[in-house]
Amino acid sequence: MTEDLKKITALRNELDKEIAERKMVEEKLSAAKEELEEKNRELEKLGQMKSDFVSQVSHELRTPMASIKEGIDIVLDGSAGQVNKEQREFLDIAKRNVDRLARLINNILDLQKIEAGRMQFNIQENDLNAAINEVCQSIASLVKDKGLDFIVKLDKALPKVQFDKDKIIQVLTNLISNAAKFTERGNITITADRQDNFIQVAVEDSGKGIKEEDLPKLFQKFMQLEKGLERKTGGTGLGLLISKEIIEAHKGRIWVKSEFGKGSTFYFSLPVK
Amino acid sequence: MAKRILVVDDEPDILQVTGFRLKKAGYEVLTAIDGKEAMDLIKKERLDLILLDLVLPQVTGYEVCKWVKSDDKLKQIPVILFTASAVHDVAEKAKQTGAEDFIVKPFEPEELLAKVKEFIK
Repeated sequence: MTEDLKKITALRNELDKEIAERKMVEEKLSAAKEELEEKNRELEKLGQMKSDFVSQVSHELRTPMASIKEGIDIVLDGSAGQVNKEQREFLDIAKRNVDRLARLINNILDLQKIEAGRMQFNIQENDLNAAINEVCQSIASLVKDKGLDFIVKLDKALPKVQFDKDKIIQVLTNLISNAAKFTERGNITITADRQDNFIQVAVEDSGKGIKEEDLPKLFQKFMQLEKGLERKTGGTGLGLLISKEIIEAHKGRIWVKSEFGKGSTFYFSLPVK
Repeated sequence: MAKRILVVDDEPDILQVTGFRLKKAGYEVLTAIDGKEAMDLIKKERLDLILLDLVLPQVTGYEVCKWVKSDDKLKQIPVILFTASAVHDVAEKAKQTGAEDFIVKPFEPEELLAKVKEFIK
């Protein structure tokens, strides 16, 4: 009996040891988990601080810009007296560049919101054809000035789609104005039709096209394939990236097909509910 | 005979405003919008100073400067590098390429004119 008792006591002691060890490991794990959670909180805070900083700076930048724009406009429209041709020329330069600055700031803010997951979308049932027509109307003069033609082929029987009207208009404006910028002759064709469970919009141009090795770079930050031209036409290099983020937030896709020297077609799709 | 300055920049607005300033100060101004055009003009024209932007399409400002400074006939033309701040370590690059000096955009017109006056042949 004493033998059995000894064995049981020995086993019991071993068990106690193991339990004590396990408890120690548990405590270490628990401490590690807490540290990780603490670090995560810190990281989130830093992310928030960065977002706040960018928002603040953008706001601060916009404030003096408003005065600059107004100052220029007041002189330009003759309110402060007559303006001669040479004065007008340099004021136009100033105005053009302030507008460019404003667009750049807006794009950076958009991008920041997207990256911080804070871009808000107002997704509702909307008429895509109407949105496309609205954008075409606003870009019409730019296109006509270049002697280009707009061909718009919208499927009249398109189902209603759920999307954020302002944001999709932003995407359409980006794609269509890009097409206009990079096309010297010919036309820009916009189509919208249903493809299975998606509506597909295509913006086709007869412009200079994009080299195959440049295609993967297109949707990146500050990507400007032809620096001089992009800057001349007021591009910021962020438009396509923002468009991509907007479309993907709608659970759609955006892509491009192009042939260098012949033209490009940019596509995006939106899911049909 | 008026002194001739070549201004090289890929932004047409910069060429216009800088050119205007220099013309008002009595210089004759030639402009180029990229490295290749700059090199063509440098080969053809008599120049007393080159104001050279660094970020240019195709042939960069550095390449143009190095080319000018390694050519026996051209190296005596003073070159002032001219670029937006913090783009590159301009001072360092200026030394490396043999440029006489550099100026950072946006610049005060007085600073530009003072440097041009200092270095022009």
